[in-house]
Amino acid sequence: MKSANLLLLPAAALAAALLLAGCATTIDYGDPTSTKPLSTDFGSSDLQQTATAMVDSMLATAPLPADGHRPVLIIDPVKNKTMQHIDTESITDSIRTRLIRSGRFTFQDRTTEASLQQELAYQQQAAANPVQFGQQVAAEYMLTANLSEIEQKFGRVTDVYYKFTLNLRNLRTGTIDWADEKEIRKTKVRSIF
Amino acid sequence: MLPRTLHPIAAPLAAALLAGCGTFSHYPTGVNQVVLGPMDRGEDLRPATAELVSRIQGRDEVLFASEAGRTAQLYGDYAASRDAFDKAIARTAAQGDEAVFAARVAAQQASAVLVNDKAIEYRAPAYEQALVHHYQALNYLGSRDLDGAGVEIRRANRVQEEALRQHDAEVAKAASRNDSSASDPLADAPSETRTAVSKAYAGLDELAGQAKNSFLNAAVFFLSAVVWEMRGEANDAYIDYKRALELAPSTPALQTSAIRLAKRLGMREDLADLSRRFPDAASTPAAGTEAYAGKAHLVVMVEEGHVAQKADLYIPFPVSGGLGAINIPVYGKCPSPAGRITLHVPGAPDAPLAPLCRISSLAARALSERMPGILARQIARAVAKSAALGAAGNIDGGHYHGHGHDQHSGGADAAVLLLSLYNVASEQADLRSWLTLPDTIQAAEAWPDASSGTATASLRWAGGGGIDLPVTLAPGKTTLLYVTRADWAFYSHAFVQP
Repeated sequence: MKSANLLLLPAAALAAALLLAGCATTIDYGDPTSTKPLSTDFGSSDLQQTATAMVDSMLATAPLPADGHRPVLIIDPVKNKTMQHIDTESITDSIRTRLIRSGRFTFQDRTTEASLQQELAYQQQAAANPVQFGQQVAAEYMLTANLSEIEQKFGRVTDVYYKFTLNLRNLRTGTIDWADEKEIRKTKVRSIF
Repeated sequence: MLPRTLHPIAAPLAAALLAGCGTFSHYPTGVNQVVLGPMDRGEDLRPATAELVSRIQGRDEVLFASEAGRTAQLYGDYAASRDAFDKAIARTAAQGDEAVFAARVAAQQASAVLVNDKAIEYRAPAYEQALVHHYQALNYLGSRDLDGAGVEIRRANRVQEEALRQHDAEVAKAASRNDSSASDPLADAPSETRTAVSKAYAGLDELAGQAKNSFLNAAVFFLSAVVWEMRGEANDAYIDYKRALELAPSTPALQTSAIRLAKRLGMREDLADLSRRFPDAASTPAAGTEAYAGKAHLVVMVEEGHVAQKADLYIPFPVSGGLGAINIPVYGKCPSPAGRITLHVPGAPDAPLAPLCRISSLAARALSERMPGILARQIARAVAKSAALGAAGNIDGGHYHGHGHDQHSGGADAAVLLLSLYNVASEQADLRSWLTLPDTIQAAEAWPDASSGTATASLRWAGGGGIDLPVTLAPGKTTLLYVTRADWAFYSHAFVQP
C-alpha cells in the first residue's frame, strides 16, 4: 500500500491548491469613498478626477483679476515623473478644456506653433489681408504641472502614492501666484492563496 | 494490462515526453544555434527574432520575450523590440501579483518535483528585470521619447531598490534566526554530496568575483544618469552617477561626471570627499560653465561577448536502496572578454573605456542566491524517485529484486527498468537564462567641439581592430553611442538628445 499512499500525496496537494484558487489579489484605494479601482496604475478615472479637482481648485482660489479681464494663459505639458507610460498630453488637454469652458481665461497654444508659423508665412505670400507678424497677444500666466509617484512594498502590501502638482506662474513678475496639489493613494494586497 | 506499479511512472513519463522537444528543448543549445551564431557572424537577425517571437508564450514567456526584445533592438527595430520587452514586463508584473501560494505555481512546483525544474515558469532574476528596462529605455531614446525613457529608467531603479530591500530583509532575518542549519537543504545530505555542492558554490563565487550582489548594476545606473542629464534633471543624474561609482569606483567617466555635477549642484561635502578619492578627476569643471561652451557631451557604452551560460553538474546523492544523483546548474570558468578600448573623437583628448559591470558575475551571484531552493527541489525529487523505485521493486511487500519468481515479477522488473531510465532521463538541470545579454559593459565620455554638427567617433581595441562611427553632435546636448560587439560583429546605435 506504500506506493498508493505515495501517489495520493501529490494528488491531494493539487486538489487543495485548486480548491484555494478562487481567492485573488485584492486592490483598493486608501480612501473608502473613492470608486473601486481596477489596478494601482494611474488610470482614466484618476486622470479625470485629478484634472477636475485641480482646475476647480484653481478657479476657486487663484488670485485672478476680478474686473472681468480674461488673462492669457499658456499651459506647459504635464511632466510625467511616474513609473508608468501615461499620456500626459491627455491630462494637459483635460485641464485646458475645463479652463476654457470656465470662460475665465484665454489661451495661447505653443504646441501648434510650427503650424501657426507656416500659416502666417503662407499668408504673407498669398493672402489679400495677411495677419501681420508681431500681432499676437503675449501670455500673462504659465501653468506648469508635475505628476510623480512613490511606490512602497511592505510584505504582501504595495502602496502607491501619486501626487499631482499644479503651479500658476505670473510671467510679468516671475512669481508663482498660486499652487495646489492633489494626492491619490492606492493599495494592493497580494492574497495568500 | 499494465502492471499496477507502472501507473506512478505513466504520468511523469508522459509529462516528460510532452515537455517540448524542438530546437529549444535544451535551452543553451537552441539559442546558440539559432540566435547567438548568426549574431556573432553579423547575419540578419530577423529570422532568429521571428523564431523567438513565436515562442513568447507559456512557461518561458518572459525568457523568449527578453531574447526577442534584445535581438530586434540590435538591428534597430525599436517598435518590435518594445513590444517584446513590454510582454516580458507585463508577465513579470503579473507574476509579482500572483497569490503567495498560487494554485498554478503550486501545480508547477509539484510537477517540478516529479519531472524537473524546467516545469516551473521562468521568473527573471532581478538583474535581468533591470536590464529589460535598461534596453527598453534605449528603445524610447531611439524613438526620441525622453519621457518614455525616463519611465523605464525609474522602473529599472525600482527593480534594483526592491531587490536590495528584499536582500537586506533576508540578511536581517537570517541573522536574527541565528541558526544557519535551519535553511540548509543539505543538512542531512551525505558528506560526498555536501563536498561536491561546496565545490560548485566555490566555482560560482569565482565567476561572481567582485560583484557584491546579483542585482545592482553600474551600467543600469550609468544609463539612468545619462537619461536624467538629457532631461535636464541634474540632481537625479548626480545620485545615479554616485550609485554607479560605488559599484565601479575606478571608471573615469563616473568620476568626472559625479564631480562635474557635484560642483554644479554645490554639494560641498560630497565634492571634498570625491576630490580626495579621485584626485585625477578633481579638476573637472562644473557642469554648465564656460569650459563646456560649444561642446557636445559624447557618451560611449560598449558591450562585449555573451553572458556566461549555465551547464549541468551531476552530483552523487546516495539514497536508500541504491545510488542516486542530483543535477544542478552551474557556471564554469569563463575569462572576461572585455578588451582595452580607447575612444578617439576629433577635438577631444583620447578617452580609455573602463568597465561598468560584468553581467556574468551578476548571473553567477544570482544563481548562488537561488541555489538553496534548487537544491531543496532536487533533493525532494531524488527522494521521491527513490521511493517510486523502491515501490516498483516492492510488489507484495517484498524487497527490491526479491521476488524473481513472483507472478508479477516481469511487470516489476519492467517498472524498475523504466523508472530507472526515466529517473536518469528526467534529471535535467534548469539551464534557462537570458543568453543574448552581453558579458561586459564599458563606458567613456568626451566633450568634442560641436560646431560642425557631426564627427567620427573611433573605437580602437588594444589587441587590434576597431570601428569608426559617425555621430551627430549639438552644443550643450548629449549624444549616446551604444555599441555591441559579438565576436567580430558590431551593432551600433546613436541616440541624440532631442
